[in-house]
Amino acid sequence: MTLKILHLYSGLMNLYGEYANVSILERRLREQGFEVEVVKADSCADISFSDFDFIYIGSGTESAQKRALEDIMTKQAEFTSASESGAVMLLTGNAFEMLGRSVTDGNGKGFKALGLCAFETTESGERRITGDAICSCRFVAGELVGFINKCSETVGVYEPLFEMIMGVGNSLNDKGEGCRFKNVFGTHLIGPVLVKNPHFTKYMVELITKDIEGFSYNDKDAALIYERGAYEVTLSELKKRLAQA
Amino acid sequence: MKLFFVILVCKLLRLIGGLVGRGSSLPGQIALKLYPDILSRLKLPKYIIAVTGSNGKTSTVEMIAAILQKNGKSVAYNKEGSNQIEGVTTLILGGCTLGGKMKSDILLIESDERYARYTFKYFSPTHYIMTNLYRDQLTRNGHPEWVYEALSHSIHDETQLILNADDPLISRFGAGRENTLWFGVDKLQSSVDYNDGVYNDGMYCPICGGKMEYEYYHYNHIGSYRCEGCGFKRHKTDFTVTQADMEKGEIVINKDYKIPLAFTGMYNVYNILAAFAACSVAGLEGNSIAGSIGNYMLKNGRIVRFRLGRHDGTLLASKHENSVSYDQSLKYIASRREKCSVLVIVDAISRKYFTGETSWLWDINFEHLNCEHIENIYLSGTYVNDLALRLSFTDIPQEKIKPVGDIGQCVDYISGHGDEKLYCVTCFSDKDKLLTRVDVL
Repeated sequence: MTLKILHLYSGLMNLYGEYANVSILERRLREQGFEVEVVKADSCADISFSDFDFIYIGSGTESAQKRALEDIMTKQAEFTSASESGAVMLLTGNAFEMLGRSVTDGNGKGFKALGLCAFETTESGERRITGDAICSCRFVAGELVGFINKCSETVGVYEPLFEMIMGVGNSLNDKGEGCRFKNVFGTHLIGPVLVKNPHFTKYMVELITKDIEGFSYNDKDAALIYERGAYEVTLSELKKRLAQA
Repeated sequence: MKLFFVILVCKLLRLIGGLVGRGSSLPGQIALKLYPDILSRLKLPKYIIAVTGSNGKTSTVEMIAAILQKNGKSVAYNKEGSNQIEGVTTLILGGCTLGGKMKSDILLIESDERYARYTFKYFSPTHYIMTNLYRDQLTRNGHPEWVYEALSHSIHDETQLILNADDPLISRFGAGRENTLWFGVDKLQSSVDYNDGVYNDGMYCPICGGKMEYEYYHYNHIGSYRCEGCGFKRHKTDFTVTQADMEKGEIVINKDYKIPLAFTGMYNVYNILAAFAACSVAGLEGNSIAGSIGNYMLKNGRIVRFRLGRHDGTLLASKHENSVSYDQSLKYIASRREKCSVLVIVDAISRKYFTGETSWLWDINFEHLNCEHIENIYLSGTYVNDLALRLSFTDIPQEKIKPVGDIGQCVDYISGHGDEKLYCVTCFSDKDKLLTRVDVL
């Protein structure tokens, strides 16, 4: 059986090694015995969202995000209907902001966004919010690690994805981070979030495969030795910092 | 009177600081507290040359200074780590008379990209060299476009820019500035028609967002580009590497000036070219410049030769959180075609701040190390698992990859095994963890 992954805006939105999220997911799915086809596209003109088992978008510069937004808005209705019907998607970094109602740039210019969730995002042209992050998640056991690197604040998220233990959430005074809408996940953690958090990747694999008849997840621990090692080292290094603070 | 007093205080603090090893930025910091616009009250030299950009600042400044000094010019310049306004103020006041007149012929400033706008608020460089804009320390810098914005506020009308024409992100600064000078490297035998990085920061036009076409690439997004949308393209160059023979280790600038290289990495070629341009505008003849920089060995610790067991070793100091810097080192090792092993250490990601952020490892093209002549790839340091995981996504035969987390154990193991050449790729933050365990030559 072949599973299809769409890496949307792979050339436009790839600031922090985000392609590795797709690479690691592809590897995990192959280990489970699936064939995997990865489609990369910088425009959704010839794309039908419902053809894919998983859709991923990574982070870009503020201007790249506006170009991606302009493009994806041409397929807003189709994107919404795929999301409503349970498509599994992950949007990391400022791609997450596209799920809200609008993004306002540092000059005060507003851009209409997908409106899947009710939140709104405002960028600053002067200040970035950066830092290591530890967060928890209601439906994944064990903390997650990562890094926040943004120049925006997001308000009005109804269902955050994570609760921050270290680092800034959707806005400066908000411990809630990212959003979840059905199986669409948005987070401002940048980079290879799935590489850094093997337990979150496992959750994604389970979601992607949940309707496949006769399939059950086979935990192949041996292959995960470096992922687990990297995760544990990062978590312990970050916790040391947290204890000092 | 106040000027006299503050300069005196700064000089004294610098003297004391020099004795206790902390003299580079504190004196300037105090001087600026006492007299915030002091830099606008001084008589500065005729030539004020500034160098900024993601990579190559320190090496370029060192080479410019060496060439100028060999040709009898007196130069005041700052060393790495003091490239923000406080360090620059210490440098300038330290080189002034008590009346506020700078004594040297040339003031040469390495400037941090993000903070250059503060340094050049009260005076402007006469010449401003910009080397390149890469993904560098993104945990602090955000991304190259963010740095571009910050840097744009440091440029004043009266300054003449000297830009790397081969970098589209830097070349944007030349728009509407008629007197800009450009440097670049012509198409070489080593040029390729594809981007050899993991990502391509030259894929889209930095001005209009249109698709860019490259006639050739030297490395990553450095090469000859043209935007199909708005026509933005590589500018013709005033200072040009017209030939390069990397086997022989020699480049030719502007068809006439042969320069033998002590080190054949492409980044070294760009640094030499930028230095050539700077010294030309400061009035030196091409022959004098070429004669002073041939076979120049950098003294800033970028390249260190050592001995470990029966291995001859070379440390190629690269920057963590800077994939282009790593790519350059890896490509250099691949180009040597001699039997060798490679040691990569990622232990402390920065020496200035803490972060556990390792995304940048995925932006490094470790596939460059997939060569027959490379026998072992040793990985070490706190982030050894991240490295091993990253390299498991290359086509390098996995039996060549040897992760040993503990640096001491890793070095001991290498010492007891084999006699092939050894290259170590790591950052300034981690290099002493190797160098204290080997015989530095």
